[in-house]
Amino acid sequence: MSSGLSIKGSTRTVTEFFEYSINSILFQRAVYPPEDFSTVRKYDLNLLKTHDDELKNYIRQILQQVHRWLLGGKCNKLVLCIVDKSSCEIVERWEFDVQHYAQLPDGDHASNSKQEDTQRQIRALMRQITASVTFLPELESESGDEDNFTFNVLAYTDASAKVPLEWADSNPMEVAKGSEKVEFKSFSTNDHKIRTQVSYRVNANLSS
Amino acid sequence: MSDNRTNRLNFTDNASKSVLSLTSPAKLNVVSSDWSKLTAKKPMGKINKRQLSSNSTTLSNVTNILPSSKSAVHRPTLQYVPPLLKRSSSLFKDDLETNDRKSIKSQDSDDGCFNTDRFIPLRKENSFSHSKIDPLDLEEEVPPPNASPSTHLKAQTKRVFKQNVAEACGLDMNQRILQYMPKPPASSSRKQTYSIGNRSHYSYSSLANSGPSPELAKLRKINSNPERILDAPGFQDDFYLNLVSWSNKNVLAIALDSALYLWNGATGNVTLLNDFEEPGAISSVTWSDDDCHISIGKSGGDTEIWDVETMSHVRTMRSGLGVRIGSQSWLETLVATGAKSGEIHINDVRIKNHIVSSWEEHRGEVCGVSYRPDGLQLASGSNDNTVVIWDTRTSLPQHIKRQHTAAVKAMVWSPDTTNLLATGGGQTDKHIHFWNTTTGARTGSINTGSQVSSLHWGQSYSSNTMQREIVATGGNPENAVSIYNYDTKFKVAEIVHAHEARICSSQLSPDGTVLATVGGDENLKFYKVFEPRRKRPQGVCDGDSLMGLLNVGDACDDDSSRSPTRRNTSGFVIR
Repeated sequence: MSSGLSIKGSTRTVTEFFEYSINSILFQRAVYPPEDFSTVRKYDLNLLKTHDDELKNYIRQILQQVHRWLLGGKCNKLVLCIVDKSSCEIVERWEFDVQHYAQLPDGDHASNSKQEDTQRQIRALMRQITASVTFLPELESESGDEDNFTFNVLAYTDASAKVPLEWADSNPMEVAKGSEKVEFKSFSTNDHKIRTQVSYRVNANLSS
Repeated sequence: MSDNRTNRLNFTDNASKSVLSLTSPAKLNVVSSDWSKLTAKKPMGKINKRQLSSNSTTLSNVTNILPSSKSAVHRPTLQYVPPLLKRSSSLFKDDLETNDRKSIKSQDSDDGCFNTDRFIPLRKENSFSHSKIDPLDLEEEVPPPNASPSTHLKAQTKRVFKQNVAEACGLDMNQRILQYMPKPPASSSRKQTYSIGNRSHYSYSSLANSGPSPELAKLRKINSNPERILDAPGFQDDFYLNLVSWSNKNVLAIALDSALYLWNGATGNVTLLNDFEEPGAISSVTWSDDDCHISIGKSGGDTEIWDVETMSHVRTMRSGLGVRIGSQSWLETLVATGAKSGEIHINDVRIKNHIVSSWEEHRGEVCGVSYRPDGLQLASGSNDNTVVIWDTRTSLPQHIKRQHTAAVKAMVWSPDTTNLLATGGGQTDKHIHFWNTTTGARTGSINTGSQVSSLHWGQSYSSNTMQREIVATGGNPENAVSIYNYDTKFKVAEIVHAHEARICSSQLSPDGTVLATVGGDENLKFYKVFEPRRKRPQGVCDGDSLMGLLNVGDACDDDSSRSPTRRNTSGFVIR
């Protein structure tokens, strides 16, 4: 019953969660058209995952590196920014905070999460992400065109982390003034705790 | 499990008592354990924590039951108790404290987080970053692109300094924020229409990424003193008019009061072409492509063509609109004229019925028209704040752009990229926008901080690579001539207070290096702003080819397929 996850397994769970959450967000927020997605069964939920090879590959490239960083305990945050193509503004910023239990002082945490618990927590979180469309403002571009949003991925790493060429230093890409944040559920594995929040532009008519 | 059940019973009892009518009992069934927990959570928060650590045995017992309990699985959790519920909790706080202590314990232990499916936004921007020094706060703000070049330099120095200090102190401040640089692919539906592969990077990322690079704040020294100042008495200080034009034969035409003067750049002689003896008679002046004729837009709606060789009037083309012609553009034998009422007429100077086409799209005065050098498109800007890109073959608007928020007078086509257009907005807009006129997409923007009355493309060279630049002339507050690097969109040089009043028009000399500006202060000033364009002549190897090869080898920008001989000559030219 109490078979915990090894650090590798834990990281795997986290990366896998990132993959599904990024896919979900891209679908829910209509960054990519619905035709690009197909339903898969995961975490006992019907989730949407892209079947566009380029996008799949793109996300895989990102997550492979993030996975490597996570294994080394070098990455403590992953951020998905949704960007308006015409105004180049950040309209939404999904933040996944990674806490490495190994890096916390002893006794500060209960590392007895079970696999089922983790799965249950992830499930609840995925549900919340899906439900978030109800309160997030509709993504409408100033120019009114469709297909006007794109996304960017940021990773917060230690200064000592090895950085491949595709990654470059960046500013935090915060949502411009007048944003709200909503924190979601968190989940924890044996070695990681993931917290999720989204910040979004509230007053869309400020800018137009 | 039994704990849960008793708890639920208690709760439903209490709920019926409470002031809040908590929806239907059926709904409560699913979440009941939470409600009780969250109500209990507040008064008992401290106790729970202590129990958590001590009662590890009960803890494991309870968690064993959990998977079987369906209600617990889907239970929403809460981190923050809304005020309403807190109030109600006082009603049955006592019950819970005495009876349900056990059950509360168990619920708390089964998972560590207390969230709810209620989405409560935090207005305050407090990120839950767990480092002591929030790296986000320390992140230096990049100065706006229109800040003076020295501000950029200062900001950069400051950042480097901070980093060094932090490193010396061993602070964990230099957490890195890394961006995955490759562009996300286009959606499949988009791909069918055109390839996104060679699309240029969006400017947000170029701004963000080039931030710390030393290329960014590279300033260029230009002489902030004019090469020459001429008096321009009676120059009309009107933003909507285009009263200066500089021909390829180095003759600058300027309308002063009611007369048109020609200033010869080579000799410095000034000749009077004609005085119309009617104040404000002239509203626009443009040289024809052959540089022998000049077209004069009149306030009455006529356009006169004069031959400067014979100093004689050739013909008058009447628009029949009765309003002034504020802008013109030549394409061989065609003249496009923009009228105050919004019409654009295409006149063929060779034929009697000269108006070959009349385009009515603008709702305000047309203050800028410009043919693309190949004549396939015409860009027009108007006082109705729109930019229209016309297809000259169909005479239909191809793109209508409404991003500007003021009159658009300045418009200039890139000499290097056929479909690149730069437009500048007026007093309330202050922006330069760059357009891909094939797709209609905006490829970049610069906030200049002042009215943009004219724009010109130019170039400078640093370490043998050409920097594409654009110069803008402005009004309030600094009446400045500003030069921006097109690739980074940053100001590389500026001449503040170039004039004592706003700059109304400017023209670039035939060799593309000197900018003639004329302002409300009735001065015509000549500033050297660009370096002469270097051509790469073909063939011909010069004597010390080896040196040329060495010099250019490392600085040679991009084209690896270029033949060695061409490299030599480019080296020769640069020396």
